[in-house]
Amino acid sequence: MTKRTELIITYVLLVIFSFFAIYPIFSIFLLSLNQPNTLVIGTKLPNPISLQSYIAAWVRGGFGRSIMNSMIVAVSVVALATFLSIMIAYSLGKMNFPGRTFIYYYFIIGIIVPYQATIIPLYYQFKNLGLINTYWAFILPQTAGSIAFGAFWLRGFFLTFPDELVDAGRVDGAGPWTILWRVIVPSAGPAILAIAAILFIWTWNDLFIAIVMGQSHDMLMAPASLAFFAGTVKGEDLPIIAAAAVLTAIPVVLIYIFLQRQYIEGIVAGSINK
Amino acid sequence: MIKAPTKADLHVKKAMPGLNAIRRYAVDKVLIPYLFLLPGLIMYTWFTIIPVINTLLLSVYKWDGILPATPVGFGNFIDLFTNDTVFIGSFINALIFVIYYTIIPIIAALFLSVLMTRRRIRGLTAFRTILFVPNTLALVVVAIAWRWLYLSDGPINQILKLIGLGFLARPWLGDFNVTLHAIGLVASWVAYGLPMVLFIAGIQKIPRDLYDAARVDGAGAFREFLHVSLPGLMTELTVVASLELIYAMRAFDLVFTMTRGGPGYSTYTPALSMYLNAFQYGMVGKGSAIAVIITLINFILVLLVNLTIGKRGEG
Repeated sequence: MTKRTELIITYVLLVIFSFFAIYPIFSIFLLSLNQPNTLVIGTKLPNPISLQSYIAAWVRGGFGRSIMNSMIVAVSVVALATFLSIMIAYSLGKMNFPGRTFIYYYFIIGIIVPYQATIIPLYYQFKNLGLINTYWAFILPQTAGSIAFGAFWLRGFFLTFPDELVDAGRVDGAGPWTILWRVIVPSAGPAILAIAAILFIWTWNDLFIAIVMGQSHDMLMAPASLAFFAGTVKGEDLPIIAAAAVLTAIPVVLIYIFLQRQYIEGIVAGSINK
Repeated sequence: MIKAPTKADLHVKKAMPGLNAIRRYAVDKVLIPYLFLLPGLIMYTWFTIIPVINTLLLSVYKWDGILPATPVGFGNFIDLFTNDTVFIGSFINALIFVIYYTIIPIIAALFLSVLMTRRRIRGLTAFRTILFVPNTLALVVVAIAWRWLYLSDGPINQILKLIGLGFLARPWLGDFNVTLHAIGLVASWVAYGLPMVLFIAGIQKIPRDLYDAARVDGAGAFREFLHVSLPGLMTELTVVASLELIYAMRAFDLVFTMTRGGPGYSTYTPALSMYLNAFQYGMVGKGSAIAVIITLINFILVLLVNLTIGKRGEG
């Protein structure tokens, strides 16, 4: 087999695989462009192209509210978890103190523990506090669930930050707080952006916390809303569900388009570098 | 005149630290590091670690979530493994899911990553980005898309009829024999992305001269893969295998959105029966016991993988 034919076969295979990766998403997008209450069968194309299903999902399905809920929760979780992770990573990565190894492994537990292991007591705790159906019930557990990975991930990055720069800052009379926010963090921009993107996508996509903590229609996150909505509708409403699915996917797709390199490389680094 | 400290002076200083030195140590080496840790530590302990311990405690009670709980020892666990056919079924389903969450994605990812690194590919990043898309979307969105593809009169059956394979057409999500596998294939479609990007990064780290040497020896693509790429990917393989096994054990979103465990109980997973027991059937203790089992399996898998990687040393 010559180099040329091998290359051609490679490209053909990659295009075929890419088609399979994209087609299900593309087909749901096409479906969403149909008018609501049309029975769409098989591979038929939308005719005429209409945005009515989006309006129906946004207004009638209450998706506007769900998207806003998800946005509030995801942005809060990312801000809070990134901030706390930076401080933990700084302490674990750039300081020497008794108990450091223990604390490190203490946080590692959080990477392995699934939400299934925490959700039942969390639900009753928030219920007793009267916080079910408030944003706290989503933000606090998901922040706690994100800190372990965020700190672990950023620690790996901070470890490689040159000690000389930290020492130089100290000689200039800067305290640890100033060194962190004025010396280390500004140079760690891409890494912090990557972890923020990863945490945003994970928080946004979460279904488990969302269906347990959101008990009223007003407090559904977008994925939960989508899952419940899909369980109740009939065939003619398919374009509306499709539109709701596209709306749910848009923020993640946007972040992915703009930060795909950082996102993918961040995932790679987080999985391998122990 | 400033006198340079002699060795003896330093020795004395080390042996009898002054109050200042102790205070400095306490501030620099204890207070400050822990002050930075504290907010995150509180948050994480309160909303992750303590709930884990409480789940463990709840798992030895019988509790409906309202009335006082009664302790039952290991009763919930014994009941799950001896009487609860739905849970046992869900556990078997999780084992079947291992094929779709772990084996198929890893094979597909090995194939794709070799394909993308064997020769200089133009647009490598673009292909990688496109092929990783299924992995980024919410599983609920993925589930909605595939529910539609799998409909009785949906695109998949239409295409099957079009190409003369109409006898294969069936209600993919309403058939006791195939639905679990239909969902499993969706899981594979999602799960190959992570091993793929890890393997691509892994292969790019393997020294090129190993490949050149193999080619000089006349090794074909397959032998090159077997003798150079695969041995170089052992760390990635173990990490990915453990992650994907964990995902198989935690599987929830796809079945919840696509079938709610149906038809019958044929697509129940441990996470789904945990959710239903704890939040729908008022069997909080039993739900906690399932949560404990899922978590234990997660920890055992991670431990096994770390031991395997640890054994391989720095290689």
